[in-house]
Amino acid sequence: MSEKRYVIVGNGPAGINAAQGLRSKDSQSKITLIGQETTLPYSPTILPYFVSGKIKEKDLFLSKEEYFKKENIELILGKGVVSLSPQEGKLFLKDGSSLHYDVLILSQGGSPIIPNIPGLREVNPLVLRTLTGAKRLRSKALKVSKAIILGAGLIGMQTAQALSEIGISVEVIELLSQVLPGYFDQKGSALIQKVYESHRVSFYTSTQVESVEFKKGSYNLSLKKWKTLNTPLLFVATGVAPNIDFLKGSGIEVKKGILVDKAMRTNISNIFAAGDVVQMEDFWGRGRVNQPILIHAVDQGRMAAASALDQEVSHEGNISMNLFHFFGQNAFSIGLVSPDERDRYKVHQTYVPSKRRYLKFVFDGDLLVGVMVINTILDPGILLQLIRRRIPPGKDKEEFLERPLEMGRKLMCQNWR
Amino acid sequence: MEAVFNQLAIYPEKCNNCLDCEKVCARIKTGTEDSTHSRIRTIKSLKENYYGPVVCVQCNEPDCANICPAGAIHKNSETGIVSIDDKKCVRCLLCTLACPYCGIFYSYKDQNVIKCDLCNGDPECVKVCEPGALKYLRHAELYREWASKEDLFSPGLSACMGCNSELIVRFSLRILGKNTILATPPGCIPGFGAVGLSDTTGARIPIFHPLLSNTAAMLAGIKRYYRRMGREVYVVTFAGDGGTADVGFQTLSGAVERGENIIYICVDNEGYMNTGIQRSGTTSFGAWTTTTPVGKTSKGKTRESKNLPMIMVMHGAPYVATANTAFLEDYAQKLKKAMEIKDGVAYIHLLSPCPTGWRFPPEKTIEVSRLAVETNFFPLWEYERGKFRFTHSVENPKPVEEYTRLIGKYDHLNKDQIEKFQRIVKERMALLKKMG
Repeated sequence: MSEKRYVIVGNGPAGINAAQGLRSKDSQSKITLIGQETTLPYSPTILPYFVSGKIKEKDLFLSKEEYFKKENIELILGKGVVSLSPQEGKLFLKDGSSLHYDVLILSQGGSPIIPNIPGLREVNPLVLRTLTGAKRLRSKALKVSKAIILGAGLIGMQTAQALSEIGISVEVIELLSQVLPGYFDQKGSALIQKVYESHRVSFYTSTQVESVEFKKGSYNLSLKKWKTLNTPLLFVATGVAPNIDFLKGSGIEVKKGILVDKAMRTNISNIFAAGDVVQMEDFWGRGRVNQPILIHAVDQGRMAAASALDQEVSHEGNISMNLFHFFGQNAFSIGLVSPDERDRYKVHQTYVPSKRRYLKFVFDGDLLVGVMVINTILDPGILLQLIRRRIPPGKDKEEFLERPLEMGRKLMCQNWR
Repeated sequence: MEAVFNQLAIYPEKCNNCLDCEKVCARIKTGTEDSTHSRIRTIKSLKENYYGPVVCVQCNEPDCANICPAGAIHKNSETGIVSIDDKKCVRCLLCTLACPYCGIFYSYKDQNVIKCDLCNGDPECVKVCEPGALKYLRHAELYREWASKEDLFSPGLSACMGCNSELIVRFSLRILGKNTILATPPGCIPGFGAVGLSDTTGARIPIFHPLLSNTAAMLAGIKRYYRRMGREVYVVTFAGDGGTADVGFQTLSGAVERGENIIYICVDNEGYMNTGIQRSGTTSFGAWTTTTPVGKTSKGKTRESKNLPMIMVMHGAPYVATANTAFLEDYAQKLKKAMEIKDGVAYIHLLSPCPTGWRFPPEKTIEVSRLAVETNFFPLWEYERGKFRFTHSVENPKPVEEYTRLIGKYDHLNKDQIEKFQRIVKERMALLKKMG
């Protein structure tokens, strides 16, 4: 193997996994990981746990400095990339320096979206994507007794839990009619919402904020229709947008994110992309989507590395999924959980609100395409593989619905162990 | 070199769902027998069949570790064990979504994430698994031990393609080490250049070329001389079956009777292969050779092979074993035992299927070797000072035809011959079982 210089932009989970994937197969080449922040690499997913105090700053990094030395992965920290010239094979950094690459992997992640609400940008609300942001949020939260969160997606919900655990009361405002839209259906999200409500978190769903202003240490939010809310802490979690500004004029094809094919290749042959920054085909071939979640970042980082090493890889497409653990309860959702075409999909569900238990399987013919689980012991990894590998329970479908835990394990033993 | 590690192997067909593995795991990890604490889980209450326990497979690139946002899961680069640092874990449970094998789970009772850590390299579940559905494979230890030792044979040797003799010499010499004097009487092993020019070709230890008839006698003399000079060395031979069972038998028999301290390894390819594939005393029944031809009247060898390892047992050698390169772990243990014998001949009878003389494709050597064991044609056993034991038991032996079918020298065998072949295998096996 001839020696190459691999450069990876972004040192989040996608970047780290790409670097590890490259190093595991190529012990010689130079690997450089560029991070915008000055700290060692960490996973943004950990930040709510830092806010709540569950993990200390010194423990939240993915690896120690010695690890990168041992693996001979060069870290360039605290330097953002300002532009890219694929013709020259060069990256230009904020400090005026430039960097040559033979192969480039773009995994610079995304940034929180601040929605277009009059006054919101001007008041500079708190967001959670970086350790700096997390520190700001935690120090502020420790001084106040209540907070308002815009957005009841995963980050909004996890931050709500973190703030509640600190001991402050939280109000969550969501534009849509339920919490965790996309991952859970109405019934499921209602169960989750109830648990939150028993922990000092209240919700305003189907609620639009008209304007925001900041006066005398208080954020005042005017809600459409009926009310004004005020708070000393305003946190916004209304989504994440890929960091693609510096790619302007580089010739790399972008839409919402960087467009990649199933081998994580961009339109330029020696440039690959992975993680929150990409937009790629979804599992069911319903177009290219941007799904900024950790499990995709890890998968895609590994795959981009394999592809950069000229191995043949093919990503089967993103499956929407997530899993979270809140106030000692457990919920996960994989695949199509609230499909629109009701006559095509068959839904099997068990709903026990008294025990906060909910189990929903969605089948497309023989194939499992969606699972939504609240407080039921199952193996999420196995259910994900059943969907991903398109393994039908076949004649055992009835038994599968009766005993999904055991049957999932049996299918695992038969098919991929 | 890729890292290799010992592995917990699961044989689901043997599992009888006794749940002992779960109980012992829960007890070791938490002091209770409540199986919800167990890191290993059996699949219960299904209509048909058991599928054995499910447990972490200690992946080489563990998805649980890759995804862990807290960096709390690591694979140990020495032991291969994937373990979780409970103090760093934030209970996000994303690892349970990433793991395709349900090797890592959340324990509601303990409110923590648990997974198998192979009891740090000595798994308790394996010890209590009576039906043998769980085994701890230590191949990796052998491989690492082997790789850490110097290859005492120079690069480049001219054995036939597919011959396992290169594997035999390189593997054995790494275990025997430098304190070894090697004799290779006429046969394939000196034929491929084992006696070379100091360090540049051939073996990188003292090696000599005795006559076909006097190997054991020469080794005995060398050993006695070294003992007299106050040095302990291993004196070893790789002798062919002709040099052992036929031409060299008289000196071997004498050496065993006198209790000479030598390691005698018979590399049995069932014939005089390097001189033109003539029959030897160990050529098996029915086999074609150039001196047991196949034609109108002759249909291969009419006599049974000389059962040399049994003869050595009857001679009273302190250690006798059979071995086979399809089961290197087994061979390595036997060679190490042979090295411990200080008061007599340690005899190892090593099967060496010969692609050239037996007429099978060179890439099939290991497959042929394995089938020789799985059909009971070449059972693996050892005999140590009166104690006999099988070292690889074959529960349901395959019909011997599966073995003969692979090998050209048996192509002509008719039904009667196959039956006789099978009968010989059964009779020899019965005799061995009586000894056990």
